[in-house]
Amino acid sequence: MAEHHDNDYDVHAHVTPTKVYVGVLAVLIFFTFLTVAAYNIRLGDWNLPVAILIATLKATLVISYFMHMKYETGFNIAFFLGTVAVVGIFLLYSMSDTETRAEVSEYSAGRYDSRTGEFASGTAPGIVEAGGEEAAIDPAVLAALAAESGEELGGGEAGGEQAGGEQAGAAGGQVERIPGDAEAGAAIYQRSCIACHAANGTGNGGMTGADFVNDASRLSKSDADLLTSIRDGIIGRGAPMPPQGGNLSEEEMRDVLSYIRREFGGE
Amino acid sequence: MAHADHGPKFLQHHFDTPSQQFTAAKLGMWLFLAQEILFFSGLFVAYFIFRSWYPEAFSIGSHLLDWRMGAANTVVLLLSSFTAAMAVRSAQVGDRKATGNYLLLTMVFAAVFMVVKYFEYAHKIHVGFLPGGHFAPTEEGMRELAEAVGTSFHGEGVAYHLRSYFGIYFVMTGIHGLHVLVGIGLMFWLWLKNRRGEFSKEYFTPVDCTALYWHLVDLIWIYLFPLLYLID
Repeated sequence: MAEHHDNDYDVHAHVTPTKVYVGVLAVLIFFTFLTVAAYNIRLGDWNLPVAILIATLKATLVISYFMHMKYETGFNIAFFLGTVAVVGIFLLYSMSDTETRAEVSEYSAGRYDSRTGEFASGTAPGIVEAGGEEAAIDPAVLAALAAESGEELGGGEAGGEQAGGEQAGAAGGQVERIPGDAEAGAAIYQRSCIACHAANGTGNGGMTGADFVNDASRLSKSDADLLTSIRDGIIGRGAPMPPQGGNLSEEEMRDVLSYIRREFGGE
Repeated sequence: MAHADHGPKFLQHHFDTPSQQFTAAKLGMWLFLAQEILFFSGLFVAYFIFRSWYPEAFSIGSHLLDWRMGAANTVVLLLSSFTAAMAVRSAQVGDRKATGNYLLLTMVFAAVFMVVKYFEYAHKIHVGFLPGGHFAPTEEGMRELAEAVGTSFHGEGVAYHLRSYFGIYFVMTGIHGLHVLVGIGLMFWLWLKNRRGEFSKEYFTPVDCTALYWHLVDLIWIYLFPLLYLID
């Protein structure tokens, strides 16, 4: 650091010429356009590595010139690089764990993507790269998931729950209803259901919860089935239905179901 | 002063020389920056794990952001880093007026960044793109969502996981924004000190260390921009 050999008393910091700073700024802005251009080319799988590479080049420039790392003491440089190395270990270790967990234990898998009917990346049992139609799902895992949720899930397709419901509805015709107080149910709906299923019962177009109004399969199930769903929740298709068993009494569940049937099922 | 020969006013009594004081301050600052990097690394690891679990939700989520605003803010922060570096340089050569002006410019760029961020946040909140359990798009939000995903979209699952994306988005940009606000405060403090003539060729440590902090805030954003705004 002491470039001037006169003494060790005064501070001798490196003064970078202005044109170096201007040059670095120009390169940084150029890299910003480059990263946007790379995004607009739609690189697919290369999107992330290219973005990280460009960001790291920019970071290196900022650290070396703006932060004067080039002129720092050896100890500070070693300390900084050590920190970056620790972050690297943290990142690599966490990601290798996340991406390969399903290979080790199939029951720690189960981040089931309802849209595609497949397991989320790296979490499908026995599948390292979950993707494409050929991703086969172990029936044992499906059975376990189904048992957990009290629902029947068809082999990897999201229709199981729906088909079961339709059958029950068709077979039963005008099926027996478990009585409940719809008036009392209204308040419960406002309190416990409205956040996901929305005031009009559409679940924001089925995005945040089941759509009772437009999706006939929903309310075609029997009261007993629906009460089980309310009590125990549903995992599998779509946004999970959180279990209400600890939240509502049996009577309250009957009341709210009766309200839903009246308001959204037209009964 | 107990020791008349101790040295200049800025030299604290527990240091022998200005050089020793400066080196110690820089080491302390790097320790703090290392801590900041480790702190943010936890958030980045959370980001990568969620992105690997829900790649589609992250892709859709990034299309719900306006990359033009993100790019504009990136350029603004780069400019502010440049002016911060120039403020240090001006202090190093003892140009008090330039130091003050560059500090002011840095504050202005930082404020522009926050204003852009405000518009982005206000819109997200308005259409209901909120983190976690608060995620509840309004009709306008649903239209944006439909636009972002195209006609092929018909599932609940991806929309469900958007709450994870917006959780990550708000936490990471929120904590980063907090750092920007702190930076503005520090620059103002420096500006006042500079106006009182406390800095000189021999003593510019606070300007140097604050600029280091500011560059780190810029560094974090350099990674946040492509990771949040530019997903295929």
